[in-house]
Amino acid sequence: MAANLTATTSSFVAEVLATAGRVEKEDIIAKIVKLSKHVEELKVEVHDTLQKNYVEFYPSLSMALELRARVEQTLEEMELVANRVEKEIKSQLNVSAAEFQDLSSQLNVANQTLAILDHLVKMNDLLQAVNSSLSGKDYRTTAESVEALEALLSQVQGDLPENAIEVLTAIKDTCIIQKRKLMSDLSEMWSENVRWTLPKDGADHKTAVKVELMIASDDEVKQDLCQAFEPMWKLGVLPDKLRVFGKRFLRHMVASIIVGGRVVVKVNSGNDQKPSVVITVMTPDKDASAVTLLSVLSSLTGVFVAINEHLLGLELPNDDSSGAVPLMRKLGEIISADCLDLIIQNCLSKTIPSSARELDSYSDVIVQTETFRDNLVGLQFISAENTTLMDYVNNVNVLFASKQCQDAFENARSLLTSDIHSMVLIRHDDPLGDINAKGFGRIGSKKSLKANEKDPLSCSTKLSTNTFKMPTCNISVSTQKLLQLAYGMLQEAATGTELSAYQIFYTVRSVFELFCIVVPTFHKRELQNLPQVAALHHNNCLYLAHHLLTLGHQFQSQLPKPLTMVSVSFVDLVPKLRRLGTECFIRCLRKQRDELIGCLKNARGFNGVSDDDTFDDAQRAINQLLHELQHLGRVWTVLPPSVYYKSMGTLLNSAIVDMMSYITTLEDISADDASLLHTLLSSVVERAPDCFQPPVGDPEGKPELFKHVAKWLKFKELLLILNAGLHDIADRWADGKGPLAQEFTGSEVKQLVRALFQNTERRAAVLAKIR
Amino acid sequence: MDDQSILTTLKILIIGESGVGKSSLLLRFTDDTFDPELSATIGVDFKVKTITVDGNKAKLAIWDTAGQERFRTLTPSYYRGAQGVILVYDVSSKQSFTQLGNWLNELETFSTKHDIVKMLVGNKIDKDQCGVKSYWLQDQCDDRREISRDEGLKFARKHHMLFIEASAKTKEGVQCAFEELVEKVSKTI
Repeated sequence: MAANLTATTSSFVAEVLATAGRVEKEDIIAKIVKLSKHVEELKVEVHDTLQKNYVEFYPSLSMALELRARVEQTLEEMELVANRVEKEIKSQLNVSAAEFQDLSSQLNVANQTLAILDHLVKMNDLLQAVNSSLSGKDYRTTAESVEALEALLSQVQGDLPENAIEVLTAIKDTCIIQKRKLMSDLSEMWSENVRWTLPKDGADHKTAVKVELMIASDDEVKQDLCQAFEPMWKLGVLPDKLRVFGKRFLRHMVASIIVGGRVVVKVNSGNDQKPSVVITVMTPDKDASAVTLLSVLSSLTGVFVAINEHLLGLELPNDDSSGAVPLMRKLGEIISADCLDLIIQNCLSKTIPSSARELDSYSDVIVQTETFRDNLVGLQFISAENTTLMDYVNNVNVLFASKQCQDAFENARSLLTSDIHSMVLIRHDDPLGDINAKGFGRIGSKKSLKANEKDPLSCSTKLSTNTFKMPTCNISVSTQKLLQLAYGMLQEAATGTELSAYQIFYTVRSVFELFCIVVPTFHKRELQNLPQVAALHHNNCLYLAHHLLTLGHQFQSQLPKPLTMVSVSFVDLVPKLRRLGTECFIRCLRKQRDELIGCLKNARGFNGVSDDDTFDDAQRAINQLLHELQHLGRVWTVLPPSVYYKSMGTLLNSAIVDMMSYITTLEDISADDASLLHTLLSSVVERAPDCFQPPVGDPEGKPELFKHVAKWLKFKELLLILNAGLHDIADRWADGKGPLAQEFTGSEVKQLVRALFQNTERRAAVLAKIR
Repeated sequence: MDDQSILTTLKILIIGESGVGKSSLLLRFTDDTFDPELSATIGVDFKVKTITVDGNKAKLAIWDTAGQERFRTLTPSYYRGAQGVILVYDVSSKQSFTQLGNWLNELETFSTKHDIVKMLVGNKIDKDQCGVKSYWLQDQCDDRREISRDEGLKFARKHHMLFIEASAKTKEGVQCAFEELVEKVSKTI
């Protein structure tokens, strides 16, 4: 289709092209003309340029190269010259620098020498000053000079190596010598003016000991002393002196004043001797007992004032800016702590009251102590901030409690270790006992016997029913006292402060714990060997346990708050105490039982008692048994009735069970044997009730044995059998419905019947009935 | 031998307040004696007696217990196996009558047989005559009757007991009391 299109249009295009080609031809001709003209111009230009390049540029280039070579040559020459110059001048410079150094070091040496020489001159001056002032007794200047000299010496010595200059050593030595001399002069001066006369160590306690302190009171001397103080202080002489002074003062004066020493202050203004003050303290005789706090404190104040007036009041110019300080303050810094301790330990501690009543009057002690303390502060012995003394006395409640507790412990211990034997009767309607009521008046608040009945304390221990009552029995006096002590202390606690209440409460607890430990240990042998002591101990334990059940509650409401918040109770101690008591007594019971059974061992098993020897042995055994029981019956009346019957009953029961076990197993009992056995056993039945002494406080008197001796009825049945005929035995058996059947088994009865009776038809008939 | 003809042994118990005459009843029954000054029983007393009831011989094992509290054993073991019990009160003592409840209680507690036969005996009816003879002195006379026969009978019925009034002193009703009890016990076996 395209070819077709081309064919149709080609004629038109050819037409167009023909016209266009004409036009272009004309245009190209014009342009060629123009171009040829331009080429002509370029030709000329290229010619010019080439000419310029080769004719003008190359010659100038070669010239420039030549110039460059010349410049380089010149540079080389210059460098050569510079090197040469440098070498020569440097060497010359080094030489001159070394020279300069030499010169300057020489200068230094010269300077140092000069300085040292200067120092030496100064030292010389100072030494001379020291010498002159020392001989002139101008201690202060001396001390200053010595100080300066020492400073110089140390300065010089720091600069120089050791022993560099010999004269320095000499100066140093001289300096030291002078210092020593100064110090010895000073201390001599002190000793001359403050003189002690002390007792010899050996003669300490035999005679009344006298201590004397002599202080020169001459004004001039005082002036000198005062002047000397500063150098003394600086040189460390004064602190030493004060320390020694303080020590003596404490040991010989304060200590003896505290035990009642008398103080005499005497002023010697006499002509024959140097004016002085003599303070004498006489240690009291041993029997001088009336020492009051007031007298001690006033004596002490007297001594302090006297010493202050004549010696320690002198002031020491202080190097600090704080101004002059009296010597007393310095002494105080050294010994005040010890001194106050001494006063507290040996003087104030004795004033701590031991009862609440004394506590009220303690305010006097506080006032006296405060005055004393103010005096000491006034003398600057202690600083105003020192509250040691007041802390102690103001803390009186705690101290009081501590003292009470300490007393209580001592008291309790002596009670615990005292005799268990001495005893007192406790009635069930009067649990604290008669003595106790009186004791209360003595120990605690004063109450009459009648008033005591209204006492909330005894009210709360008196219960309406028998249920919670302590049964009537005997306890050790010491235990009763121990309990009174506890009640008394708790009463004190109820009236005291919280802190002391705490302490007292726990002390009381500890006292009971102490009981649990001390008594079984301390009285071990008695508790093991003596039945009555064991019984008393048992009662004591139960008695204490009985009271401890309610002791806490009785005081709970009265004790200070914090204690009532926690539970004030002793109940936890109750099981411990009960166990302690019962275990001890049960051990004792076992021992006694073994002894009784031991007695019966000698009875030859009650076999063939118709033999004289055997009868004697059996009788002796039974007599021993009854005797032993009788003895126990007497000593154990201290027990509460129920415990008494139970114990005695158990022992007797063990004995008869043992006897019956012998007799019921006998193979053959002859008629004689039977009647003798009956006699022997009858003696037990007759006499055993006598062994039961009615214990104190049992209104019913002698008890019936079958109530307390489990096998008593069996024993009586045995007695019947020994004396009965076959018919009687059959009746008492009563087809298993009689008393014999209740106590014995069929085989036991059969055994007895076979042993007692000969083999007959009747016996067989009876045996057949017993099943 | 007469022993062979005995059918059985019966355990009889006598209980009641102190002083109502338990031992006296027993002595009257077994020995046909009376002692006005009899001392208190200590613990327990025991007697055997053979009687014939309805042609049958029975051997009675009679336990006489202590009425006084302090003479009694702590655990009354004699209740064990008892088949018949005689509960005694004193018609001239109101107190002994009011205490009967306690005794029944103890009996219930300790008896091992649930069908134990109980007999209530009002003793000392001889004292009744005191009241009749000196009527004007009744207030001063401690010994007059305080519990009527009807009261006793009522109580016995209430607790399913046999009842009889007796006097150990005059012998009246004693034999009868034991016989009636044995008769009843024999029937329960």
